Amino acid sequence: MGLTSALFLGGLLSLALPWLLHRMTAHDDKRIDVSSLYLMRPSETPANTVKKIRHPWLLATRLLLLTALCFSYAQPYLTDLLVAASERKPHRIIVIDTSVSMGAADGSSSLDQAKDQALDLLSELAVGQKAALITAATDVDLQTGLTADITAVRAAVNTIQPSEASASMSRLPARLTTLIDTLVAPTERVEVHLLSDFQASAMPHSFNQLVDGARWPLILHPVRPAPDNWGVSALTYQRDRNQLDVTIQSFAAGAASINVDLLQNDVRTGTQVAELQPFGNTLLSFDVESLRRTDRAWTVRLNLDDGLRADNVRYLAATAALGAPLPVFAPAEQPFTYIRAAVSAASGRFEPLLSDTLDDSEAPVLILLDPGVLPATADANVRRHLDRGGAVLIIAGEATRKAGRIPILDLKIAADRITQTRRGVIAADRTHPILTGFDGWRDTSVYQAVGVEGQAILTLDDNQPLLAEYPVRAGRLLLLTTALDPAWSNLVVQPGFVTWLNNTLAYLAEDMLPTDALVAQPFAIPAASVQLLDQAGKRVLSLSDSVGRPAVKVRNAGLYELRTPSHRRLLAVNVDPLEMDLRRASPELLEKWSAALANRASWASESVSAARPTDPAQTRTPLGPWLLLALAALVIIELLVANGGRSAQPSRNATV
Amino acid sequence: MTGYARQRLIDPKVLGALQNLELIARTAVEGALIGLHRSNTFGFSPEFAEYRAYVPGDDLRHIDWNVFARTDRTYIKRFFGDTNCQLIVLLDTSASMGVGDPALGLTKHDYARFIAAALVYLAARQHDAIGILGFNDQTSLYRPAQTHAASTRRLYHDLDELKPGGGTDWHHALTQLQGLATKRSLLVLISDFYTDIDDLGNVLRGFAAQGHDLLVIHLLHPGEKEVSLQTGSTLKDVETGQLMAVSSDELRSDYKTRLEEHVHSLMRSTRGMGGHFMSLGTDQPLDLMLSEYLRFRARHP
Repeated sequence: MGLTSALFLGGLLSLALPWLLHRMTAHDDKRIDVSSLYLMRPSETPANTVKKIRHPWLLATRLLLLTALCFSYAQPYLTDLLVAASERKPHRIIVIDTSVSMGAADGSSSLDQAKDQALDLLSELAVGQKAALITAATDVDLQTGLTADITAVRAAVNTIQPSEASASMSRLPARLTTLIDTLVAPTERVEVHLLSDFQASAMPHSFNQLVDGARWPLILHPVRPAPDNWGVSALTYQRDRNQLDVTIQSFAAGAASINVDLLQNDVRTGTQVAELQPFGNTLLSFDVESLRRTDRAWTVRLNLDDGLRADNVRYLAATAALGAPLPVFAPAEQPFTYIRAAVSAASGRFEPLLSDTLDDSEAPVLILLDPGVLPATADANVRRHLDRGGAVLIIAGEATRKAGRIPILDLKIAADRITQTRRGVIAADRTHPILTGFDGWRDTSVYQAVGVEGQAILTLDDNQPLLAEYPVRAGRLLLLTTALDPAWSNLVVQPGFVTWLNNTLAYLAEDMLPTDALVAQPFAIPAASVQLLDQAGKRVLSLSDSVGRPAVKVRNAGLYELRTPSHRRLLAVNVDPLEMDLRRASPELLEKWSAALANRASWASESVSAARPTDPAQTRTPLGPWLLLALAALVIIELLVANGGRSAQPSRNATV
Repeated sequence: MTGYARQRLIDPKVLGALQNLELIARTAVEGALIGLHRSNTFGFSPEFAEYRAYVPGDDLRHIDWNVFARTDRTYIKRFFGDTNCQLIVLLDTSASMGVGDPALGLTKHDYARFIAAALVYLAARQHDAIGILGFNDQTSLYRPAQTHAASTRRLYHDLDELKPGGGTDWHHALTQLQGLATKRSLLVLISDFYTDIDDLGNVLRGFAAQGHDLLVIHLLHPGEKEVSLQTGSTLKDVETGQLMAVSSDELRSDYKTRLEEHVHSLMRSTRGMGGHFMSLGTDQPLDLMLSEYLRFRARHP
């Protein structure tokens, strides 16, 4: 309990009690009751008729007693004077943005400028002030703890190297607070200095995420404006055309003409000249060999010396096996459109193809889109596929509902189990690989669905399965009980739909190893253990490192090879394309952010210092025992004064 | 006054400790009677005087039934003490009467009740009818004059229950007294008389003109006679709550003079109406007051 606690303040109100009691028994000075004033004449000199408190010493003793009691409950302490003095000058937490964009150089890099500013801030520290160094990119890392050894902090600043991770200001204050709380003693005050290029692309959509969790004063130090920049923002393999599409984005005010090299296995296989327009995208296409049977990896490189070099290179890994056709039985066209768009938007590992017979014996997965009554030929082929250990995805729809039966499964659709009203998902088997990275089920609304029995992965709030899995013969079958139609559910219009479909196909094809990732961004590897090797064959992540880890991070861009006990997969790790845009956030936003944090920090630091648990640091001297002694003494004094007052009290019958 | 009589004088504090009002009255009256040497002049009942023939209208209780048994004639037995006087006590029960001397432990109200109780006892002995009117700013006790023993006990009880409080309204009290004093009576006024004497005298003069005898008993406690206060004292009127700052010098000189003038004024007014005035302090033995009262009765049979 602190001195601002409502309980403590309420306790102080009790001080009024003895005062009122004494006031009630207050007497007029020398006031004497007389039978009548009939024969009296008033004095020419006005007499003092002010009421005086009876037994003032007793009242004072009681007030002191109650005050001491209230303070003892507030658990007061004395703070060491030196510490208190140093609190007046807050310590400095220096946070340096080390994202890719900070490597942008126009002469010296942004990171170098930030380091110089950090050194300046350190040189301003007075004796006794402490400093700490934190680097922030995708992750927030502590470089040095809060220390008075400024030399060590300066050394740490000088050794900071640019990373290839992306920056995100989203919830940065909250993340910093979590870290700073582990550094700062309850009695210490700090101010946080953030040195960054403050990219507009790193700013969150919600302003609240810039201020939520902020507890300390945050001072923003933008480095100088960013130079012109160009970079490869996208690299996609067009399986159907055997082409590699390269998207080059310009963040420069002027046009430029640059050479773009395509490398395959570190060997240049092509060069094109790109004419880049100011602040625009330029698309180049390279013809490449078919990937029907071979995994491939490409590197695209821009031959120019611009502001940021890290984004001039982009990697792409494509897996041959995953370029296989994906037979889809779809009587209606619209659901197939959704499937094709979603699969293409993922990684192109599958190539959806309409098929009436589903006779591709090589396809790992078959999809039945609202099949209704399945033709005999297709039915037989699907069953043979399942016999071979294949996988099938059935997505229900109007035709299936009219048929009243789920094909292959031979499950009858009960009329009373057809969902006709809006339903939400109330249960999800989050351990299922399909749901990895897909949280859209929380917001999924289902307007129509067919109800069948099955092991539900997603369950609607009428206890009907939305997504269920069935082992059929030697294979597996997944059933989505709603249609890929906005009239049936909002699943297809959710951002997570692509992720979900990708996961589903990968799960059914028994292949969920990723082929691409971003630097420092965690990605899931659905394998019991994994090794990650760089292009030189050096292990970046060993089996022992990854055992039990659901997600891994890679710190540098490049091409890697993922090895699991059963698969090998090329992995392309790239820098976040958002880092290419070096433009700074608007001054208004930065100003607003700075002001908001200054205001918030002023009250937050006070409340936190009051609410923090007592730290056993030696800087505090508890006053509780002394207050107890004072209480005991005051009790004795009160008794003495009270008894003395009683014995000295004149007779109440003293009248005239 | 004999030495024996002096020994019998009873300190009012002792009387107050008796608690029982009837016992207080009996003790005080008997003491006074002993000190006065009993004499038939005062005709205290029951002292036989004569027989006379019964005539219709006489009280049947006074028929001597022994004579009737022997002679078969009805005679009334008459006593010397039978005066058939009506005594009405007008008792001030205002808050000012509740003030007393802390050293004495007795208030003016207590002392006044002792006087009233003693008068009740005396009247009962003499077969006088006695009524009591207690008053402050209202009527606190109203008992018409009666002679029954039961009414006497009731009067003791009523006096015992009286508490001081409220203001003083003489006009209201004397208006009530008109209803009680229906025939010639002895009116005993017991009060501290903190009122305008001229106004009071004007009203009382009417009673005197109607043939009523007046006995004015003025009560003060010792602190009212000799006021000793510290400089800058504030006095509070217990009846009105009014505060007044007075100086001790003023109290020492002027107040005492005004009090004496007030008492003399009351005495002159009373005597001017043919009444009898007694100024008593609550520290004075009650016997003395009763003795003086009996002498007064001797002069006004």
